[in-house]
Amino acid sequence: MRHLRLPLVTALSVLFATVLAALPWGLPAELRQVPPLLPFLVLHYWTMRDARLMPEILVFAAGIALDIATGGPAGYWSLIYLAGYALTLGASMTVLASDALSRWLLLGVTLLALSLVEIALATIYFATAANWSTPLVAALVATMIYPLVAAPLRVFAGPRTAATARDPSWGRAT
Amino acid sequence: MLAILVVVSAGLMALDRLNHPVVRDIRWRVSDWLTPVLAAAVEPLQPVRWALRKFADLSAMRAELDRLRADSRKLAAAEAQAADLERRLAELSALARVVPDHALPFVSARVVATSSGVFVRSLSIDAGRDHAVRSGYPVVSGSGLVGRIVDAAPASARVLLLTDLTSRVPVIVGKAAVRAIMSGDNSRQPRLEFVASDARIADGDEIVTSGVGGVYPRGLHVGRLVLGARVPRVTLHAALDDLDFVSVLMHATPLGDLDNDTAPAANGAGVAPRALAGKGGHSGPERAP
Repeated sequence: MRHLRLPLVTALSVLFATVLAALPWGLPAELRQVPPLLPFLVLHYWTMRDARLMPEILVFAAGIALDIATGGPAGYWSLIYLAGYALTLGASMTVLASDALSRWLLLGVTLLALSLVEIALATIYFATAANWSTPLVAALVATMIYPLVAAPLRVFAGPRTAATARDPSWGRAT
Repeated sequence: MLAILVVVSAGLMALDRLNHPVVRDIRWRVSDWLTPVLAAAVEPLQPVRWALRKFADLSAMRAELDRLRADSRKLAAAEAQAADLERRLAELSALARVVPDHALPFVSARVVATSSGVFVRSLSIDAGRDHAVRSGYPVVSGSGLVGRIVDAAPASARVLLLTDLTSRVPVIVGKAAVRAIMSGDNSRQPRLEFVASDARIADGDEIVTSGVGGVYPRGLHVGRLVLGARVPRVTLHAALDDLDFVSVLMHATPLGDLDNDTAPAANGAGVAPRALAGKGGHSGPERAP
């Protein structure tokens, strides 16, 4: 049972973040893009910790659930989460991801890249130039609040072990 | 696997853009399943929303106080004028034998989710086809028009907000009743388009729906005109970022329901007098049974 605990915590935390992201928080328009990045922050944490905990299908499911719950185009957030997941996987295999501060900076760069993907997708979808400032602000805010999201996850996950730290399969998709 | 899922996501987006019935059907089913979960999750969120609202209120209080003082001075002068106009209108209505407006049935629903894309401005409510909610029905809050229903599942529906890029609302502006189209562009203040260059409009003019096209009934309060930018814009009365409850007005459009459904008034749906609908409709916390 113990070997199932962490995958279960991973799935539940992503589900919880997805529900939180869909709720009407009453945030001002400039910050409305922040909640949808919550599930990504969670999946980023788990992917950076051990990519085997985060199967692609879970990333896809979180995005689709958010799309449907919020009435957005089906496939929009799943595409963005998958793009972010791929970037995170790539980043996790670099030497830059060796300490917490570096991982935080890599997250900032990843979120910045994702906001560009969001703008590009929106522009293609509606064939009109999409608002660029809101996704960029959201990326910045999400980067800043990441430690608040990561702290409780770290408590649930427990300390890193040799098996979950940088082993040869770390950062490799299952 | 990753590449396959990316292709599936892109395919779903393309099908959704084409409004494919299969995607719509899946969306309805999943949405109905998710709505009770979201409705339950909204409850514990209320204290957080309350705190956020209080914080925003406090920061805006000074400006609000100045505005209220100015409004109070204007209202004192307008009160006497309104009483006189009311008396004259009653006399003229009696002379012209005007038929009073019909009451509009409505159903109130809770907002359970808000949109999160860079371009979609919509929200989900926990009332759907089972509550006689149909595509095309206007949605109001206690302050003014919010948008219209674009998708109705059995137990939930999606509301396209006035600020959405695809939203177009025929309106009339000010005392001169200048006709225009209010177009959402995903900003907080929709644009006002097709206004004649010599139109007699002024900053702060009240904007209401014109009823042209039949989707929205005439006279729903929308917002106030803001001049000064490159294009005239509208400050909406309804606080679209902070909606708890909304009311769906069962206004059958003469264009026909978009889902080819008949649109009878719901069993148990409330009835809003047109005058109330004009003020933004019912927004109390109670639900129609």
